[in-house]
Amino acid sequence: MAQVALRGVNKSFGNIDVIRNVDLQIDDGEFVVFVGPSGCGKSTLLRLIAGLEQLTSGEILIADRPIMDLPPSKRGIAMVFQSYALYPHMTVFNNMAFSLDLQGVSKADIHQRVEAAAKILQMEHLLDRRPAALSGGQRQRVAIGRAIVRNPDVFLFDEPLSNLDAALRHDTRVEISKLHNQLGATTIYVTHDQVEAMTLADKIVVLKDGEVMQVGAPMELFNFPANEFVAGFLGSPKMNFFEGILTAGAGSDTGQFEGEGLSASGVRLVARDKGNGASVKLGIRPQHLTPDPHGPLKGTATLVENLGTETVVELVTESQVSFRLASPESLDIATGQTVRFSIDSAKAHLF
Amino acid sequence: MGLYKPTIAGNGLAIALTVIFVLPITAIFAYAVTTPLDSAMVQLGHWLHESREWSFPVLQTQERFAKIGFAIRSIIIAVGISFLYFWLTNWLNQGLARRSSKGSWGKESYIIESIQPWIFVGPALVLLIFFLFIPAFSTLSLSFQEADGTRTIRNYAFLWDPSSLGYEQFRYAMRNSIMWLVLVPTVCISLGLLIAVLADSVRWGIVAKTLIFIPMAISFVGAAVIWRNIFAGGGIEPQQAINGLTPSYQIGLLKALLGHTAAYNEPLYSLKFWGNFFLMWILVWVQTGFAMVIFSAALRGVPEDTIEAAKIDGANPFQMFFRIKLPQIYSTVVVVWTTLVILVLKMFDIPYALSANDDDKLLLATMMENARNNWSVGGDNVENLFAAIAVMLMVTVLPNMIFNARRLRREQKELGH
Repeated sequence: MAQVALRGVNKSFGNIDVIRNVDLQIDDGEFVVFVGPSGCGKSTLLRLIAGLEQLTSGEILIADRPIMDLPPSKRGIAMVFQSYALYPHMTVFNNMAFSLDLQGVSKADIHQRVEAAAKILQMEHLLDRRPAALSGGQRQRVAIGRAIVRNPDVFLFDEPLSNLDAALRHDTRVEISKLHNQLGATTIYVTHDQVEAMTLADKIVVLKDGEVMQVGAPMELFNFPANEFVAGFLGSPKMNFFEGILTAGAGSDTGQFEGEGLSASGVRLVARDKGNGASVKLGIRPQHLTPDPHGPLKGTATLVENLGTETVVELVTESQVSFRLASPESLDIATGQTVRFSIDSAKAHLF
Repeated sequence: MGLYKPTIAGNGLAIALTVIFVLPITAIFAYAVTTPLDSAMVQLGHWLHESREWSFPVLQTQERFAKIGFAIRSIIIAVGISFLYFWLTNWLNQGLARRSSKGSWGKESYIIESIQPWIFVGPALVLLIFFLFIPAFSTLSLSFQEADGTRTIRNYAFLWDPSSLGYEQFRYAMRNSIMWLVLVPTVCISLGLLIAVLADSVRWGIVAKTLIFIPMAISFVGAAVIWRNIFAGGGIEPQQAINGLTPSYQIGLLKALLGHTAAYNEPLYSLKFWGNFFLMWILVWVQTGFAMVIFSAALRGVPEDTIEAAKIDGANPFQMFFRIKLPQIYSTVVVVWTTLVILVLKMFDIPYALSANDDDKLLLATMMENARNNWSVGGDNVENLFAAIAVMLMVTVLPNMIFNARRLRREQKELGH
């Protein structure tokens, strides 16, 4: 069983706290994605687990075993780097065999394990090549293969897809997902791309400035964001926010909102600590706005983007607050046109 | 595109012939036209001489000013001719290509691009042929000739004839040269690598590296003098001055440390056979800094992520160095090694400064000098003998040259050329 536990993990570089008091429980076989904007500490957190950085304070346990004092190779992890980090002077075979060779595994075993991994990744024909003779996608496979042969308890992926082009990124994402199902190993995956996070993860950890913002299943985070940051970070296009006043329902599950011409009641209240009359923000996803000639929200279209599967319209309210509408239908809205919307208060949030 | 070969050859020939005719004529013409400048310079010298009342003969002043004038003219004409060369060849290349391509733009640019590299390489190639290849081959040919030009292999007799002039010296020189060639680059590279790696892991590494690099700035003779004092005879008491020469003070640091007394005052570098290693050490001392600086830079260029990947793969520091870092800077090591081999082949100053007359310490370069001084009174085919020594010097470089050529070809093949 290879569950990973982080307890009160802190990391600072000089005076700068990069990771602040992170507690996290990752179950065996779980696919966990660390997501957040650049500089949020997600890569550092992964490197702390890998042992490439030393903790400032706290505890990390893999399979209930504290690993802070173990070198990376003894932690039962394998890591796939963003830049692939293949050894340029070795063939693909030797790249994959290197760790086994260092462990003193017999030649026959090495062959068997490397070939098995190559077969899983369908790259048996590449084994004699050097990294320089491989395409980006092939290098990525080798990097994953190098991790697989080690047969680790935990796979660590550090933004493995960001150097690939869009089409290949999609294919590789699907493959990583399949691979996880096939191998069943605990996987920690770092990305700044929320699509990767949503599609791959059993559990998403959203980070900001070295702190965990929210942990949960993708749809849980999407539907019930715990704060404004998570709400704004997940989902595309970004969630709309309108400033206003909490008029009723302070301290309860739902509240009433007034502002920006909107009046909504029975809205999920996230900011429970706010009293009636306090200023709050109403968050609603662009998909949850409905054009309605008598709707309370009024906006002037500034940009219409037709993506084929979706139409995204950028608008501004009379008080110059910009917001977006996303609709699966192609809408008959032109730039400069004023449109009214109604909102589905069951799908809105108050922060 | 093979179709255009005759055109390219024709254009190339036309350009070459034009250059061969036009440039020398222009140069001669330029010299002829500017000759009056020399007499103007002489006048200037004369005038300065008179007005400043210089003490030395006026003829000398005039001669000097004439020379300066000629030098200035030559520089200007040489630069002008070089400029003319590039302008003329380029103009010809484009003009000829336009004519012979008859309006086909693709063909025109193909012809221009085929000839252009040769225009730039050409002058260097000509110089190489005249000053390197031809002398090398004529040396080879001379080495198989008597003074009167008849063919012989007698010049190489010293290789196996104990009674011949250079037999002993050549054996020593050959033995020592090979020892130097093997040991000095190896030790320099090993020490350079070691220091580069270790210095990067300590805080005062930069100071250590600077100290090790400083000897690079010392000339070989200077280094030889410094180490002579360290390797000199031991003991404290000064020796007697002989014939009014400066007495060799017993300042041998190393021998003093070893506890040798004045009675045993042979310098370490004069020891039979083993003295060679003390001489080599001087060159190692001078050159390790060079190797270290280059390796230090190369090691910084090793991608950090491959090092991290190796850490995760479980490499210990030794495996990290020998299996991850070293292979990635291999080409740098080869370059440094080649540079050092060439340096050793040219090595003359250190053995000459410390043990010029000791046959046991000869290198091929010092042996040639030795032979020039001592043999020239001996035989009439001395120059042919020298040629034979030079050929032997060349032979010692061959393994290195072959190795480098092979490596280059292999690297190009890997890159798909």
